[in-house]
Amino acid sequence: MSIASPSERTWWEQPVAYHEKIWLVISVVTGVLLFFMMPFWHLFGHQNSSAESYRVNPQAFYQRVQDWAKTQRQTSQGLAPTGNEVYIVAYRFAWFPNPLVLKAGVEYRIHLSSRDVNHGFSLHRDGTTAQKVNFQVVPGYDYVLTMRFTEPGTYHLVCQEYCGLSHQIMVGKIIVEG
Amino acid sequence: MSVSSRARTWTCTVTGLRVHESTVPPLLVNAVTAIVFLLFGGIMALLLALTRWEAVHLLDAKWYFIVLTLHAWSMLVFWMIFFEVAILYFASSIVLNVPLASTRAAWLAYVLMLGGALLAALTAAFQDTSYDQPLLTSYAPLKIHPLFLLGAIIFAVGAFVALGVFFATVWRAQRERTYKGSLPLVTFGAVVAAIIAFESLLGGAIAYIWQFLATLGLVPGIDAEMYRVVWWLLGHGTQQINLAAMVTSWYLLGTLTVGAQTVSEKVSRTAFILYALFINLGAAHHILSDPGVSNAWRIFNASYSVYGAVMASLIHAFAIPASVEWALRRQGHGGLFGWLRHAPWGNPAFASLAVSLPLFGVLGGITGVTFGTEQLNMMVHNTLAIPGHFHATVVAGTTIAFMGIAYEVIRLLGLRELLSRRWATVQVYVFGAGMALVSLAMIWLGYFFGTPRRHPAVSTLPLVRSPALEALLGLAGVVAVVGGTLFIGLAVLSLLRGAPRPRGPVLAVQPQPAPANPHPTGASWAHATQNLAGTLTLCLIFLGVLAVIYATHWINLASLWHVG
Repeated sequence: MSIASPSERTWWEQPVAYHEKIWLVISVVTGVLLFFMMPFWHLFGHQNSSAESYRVNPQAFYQRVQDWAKTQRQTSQGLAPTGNEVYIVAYRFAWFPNPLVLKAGVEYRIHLSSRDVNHGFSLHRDGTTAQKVNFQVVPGYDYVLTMRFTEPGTYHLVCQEYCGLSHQIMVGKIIVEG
Repeated sequence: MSVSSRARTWTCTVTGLRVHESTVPPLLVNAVTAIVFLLFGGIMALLLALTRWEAVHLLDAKWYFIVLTLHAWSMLVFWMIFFEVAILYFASSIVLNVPLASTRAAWLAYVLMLGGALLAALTAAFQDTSYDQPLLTSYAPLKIHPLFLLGAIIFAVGAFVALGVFFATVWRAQRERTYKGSLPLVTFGAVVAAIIAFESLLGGAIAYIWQFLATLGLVPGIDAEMYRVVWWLLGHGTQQINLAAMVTSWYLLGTLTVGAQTVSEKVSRTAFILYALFINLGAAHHILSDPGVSNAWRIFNASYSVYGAVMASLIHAFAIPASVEWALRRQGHGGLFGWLRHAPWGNPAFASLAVSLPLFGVLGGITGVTFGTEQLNMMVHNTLAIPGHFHATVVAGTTIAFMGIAYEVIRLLGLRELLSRRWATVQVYVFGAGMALVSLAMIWLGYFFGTPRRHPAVSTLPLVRSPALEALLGLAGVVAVVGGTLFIGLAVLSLLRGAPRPRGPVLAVQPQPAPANPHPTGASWAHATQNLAGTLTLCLIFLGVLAVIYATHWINLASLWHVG
């Protein structure tokens, strides 16, 4: 009974049933397999979380993005970066720059940070439910995400971390051209 | 023996345990307070379900966030921790046949916890709109009301005192030799829950006290990422207290309903020790898609160091049904699943075990393992799939297990019969069905549609939606609230108006060793424990479902553009 002391002097000496031994082996194997999937995907998969980030002053980062945007190409559709370095800053209650025009097949380094509180970077490809990705946007951290869009299309950006009363109006757009 | 001459005990007619009269009032008051918070949190849940059902959309953004804060704190913190304090007092004083180390400290703990809870909840409800709603997490640098943080700190201090009473009571039992040999399994599990609670509260103390002092301008503001890492020690840790307390409750429910005894004390206790060692690493599940940490850190923590804690849960997932199978086979019910057919399905406490264990494992466990995997987390981070996962674990799992415990506590310690065992059983199934569908709808909306959590108006977003699933979430929420209300009504009315139950002879205290288990060696033991084929089959089916869902997530991830 679970409310009485075990009869053995030490519980370690109790025997283990046959079926339970089988399950123990299965449990250990399951744990090891689950573990190795993560390093495996880092080696062979194309969708991994980024470990590159830098401490920044939130206000200085915001200014850096503003200055950077002035040097980029402004098109009728939105801001089109000329190089591979792209900056996105989140603040209550908008994304900047917005919209952003990127090219498919190009590997971008997207610098992501916040000017004020935590925000959520949630990028959805229009019209599909399968393609979407989410990252935390934290003030004081320049989070560098390497992204290569495989297909052109419209991608919507929504804030997915509670950031204040008007959280729901914080949406953005990335247009990926072929 | 250092026992007051005024202390009195009576003997429980069902379990044979000695009940110290002085333990009963603080135990029952903590349990009833928990149930009152469950009622309040349930009303909040109804409002939320009718808001996330976009066709109804009851609350505007301001009220949505207020109600979300009150719901989260009432359920995840106040209902759970008040009830867990009651379980700790049961597992120490009642199971070990010893009075609480200090009834006065137990009341002090209660007053602090209640005062802190009310201060935090009232502040969140009535604060000036220039402050941000804390929700559950109060992420720095949101502008959080200092009185809310003070309430959280006072509550945590009260919980610390209650933990102290528990540990002191276990120590007193050991010193006074009120039990022989090792601790009973239920107390062993409760000790592990209390150790996890201690670690969690330490993390919470650092996060809240720092944030509180920063709000007053006494110290510089905490780094936003550091706050997330430290806060989640509390945020995730408290859910692991629930896990350990729930698993402990399952062993207890098995014993109380079918006389179950775990097949191997060695295996079950080792699994509890794995929890104590590894489970709090799971706090990192909330940091997997964050800046500021390395991939090695993510992999080590996300996996609780090679899934030590997941192995523990798999072991319990086998050991608990196996203990029931063994008990029912001893009572003569054979066949691969014949024992299951002859289980006491009409007993509300057994129903709560039989509903909460599979719902926790299938809906909560599988999503926990997949969403807590480093790369898979990117697909669901901050979507409704996450609350879907923890409504399966904390509500369909822990809350239903605690409902079963509450029914037993009313009978054994409240000394009242339930007003209606039939309705109590129906309640468990209705609540279980409602919560299963709530969790499924949330998981589905979050995983397939990327619907954000903590969002007052997803209809304004440029996202693909599923009105049908939103309606399912709302309707299932209503069903669950009906089931929950039935529970509260039955529990409170039974305690007040139920037919009185006889209690064993009242004795002046004469500490005696608790009865030890019959010696499980020799041919009969080996024969009886050998046939656990039914449980093994069920567990293998579960593992197959896990494998399919886990693989599906990886295949889906591979369809995403390249991210690194």
